[in-house]
Amino acid sequence: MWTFIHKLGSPRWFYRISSVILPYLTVFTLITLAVGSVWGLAYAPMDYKQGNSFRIIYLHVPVAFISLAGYYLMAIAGAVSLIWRIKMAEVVLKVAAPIGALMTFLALFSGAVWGKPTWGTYWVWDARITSMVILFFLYIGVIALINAFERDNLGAKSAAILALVGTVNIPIIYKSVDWWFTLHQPATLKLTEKPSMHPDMLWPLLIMIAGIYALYALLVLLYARYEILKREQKSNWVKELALS
Amino acid sequence: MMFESLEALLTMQGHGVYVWTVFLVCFFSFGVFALVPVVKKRALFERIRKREQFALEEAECTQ
Repeated sequence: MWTFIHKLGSPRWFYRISSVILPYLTVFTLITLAVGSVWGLAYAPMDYKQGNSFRIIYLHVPVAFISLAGYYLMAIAGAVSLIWRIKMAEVVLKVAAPIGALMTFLALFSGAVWGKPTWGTYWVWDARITSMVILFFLYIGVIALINAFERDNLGAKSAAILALVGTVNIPIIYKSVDWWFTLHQPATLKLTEKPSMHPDMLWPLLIMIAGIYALYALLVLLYARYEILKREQKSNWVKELALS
Repeated sequence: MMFESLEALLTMQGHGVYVWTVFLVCFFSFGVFALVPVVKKRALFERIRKREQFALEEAECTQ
């Protein structure tokens, strides 16, 4: 196991392993997102309070989940690149930032659109939404820092520090609906409690969560592979790949 | 299916515009984000091929 993880630190090995995983991951992502979307949009029962607008949950919750989990991945990659100076950790830190920013933006956007029929407004500055906006700006900050320096490793170092400091915001986002009185409803799914949703509504949500997690992994792999090729373009193995 | 017709599925009793907007924007963004590294990789390989071709031609000229 440790040998496998150690080998993943090598860009060439990572590229080779990811070539094997990529087709399976793509198929799994497409199937779960297609099944989850069709089930959630057309077959899940309507919510008795919110009506059909509740169907936004099938994208809003998964993208919100992954925006938080993705931040942890980015921060862990940052820590690994700072402590052990592993090249691949730097690459993951760099590619996870824009994907995480996209997911956070989509969580905010879908939440705002959902807010209109439910709360009567697109936006309120409540604790959950404000802390998500801060998360979005943290992602933007990491992207800006990575690109602010001419030398890749200097930018990655500063971005890693910001990513680590920003992890303070994640528990605040999780607990914001409990700590403050907010318009945002409490968490739909909790690891410690039995879900209150009906199974007909819950199953498509779980499938969509799996699909969005798989999509995130797929995007990270695709961007990481490109980043590896760009960095190693003068090496023989990349030249051979390009010429084959 | 929870809807009696395609029109009912699209309108969702007035909520269709919100639900479909979110789904379209999200899936469009996912598609674009997935395509960018694929297109960039092709362009990078093309650049490497041209560079190698140029180096080869230059080596032949100097011989």
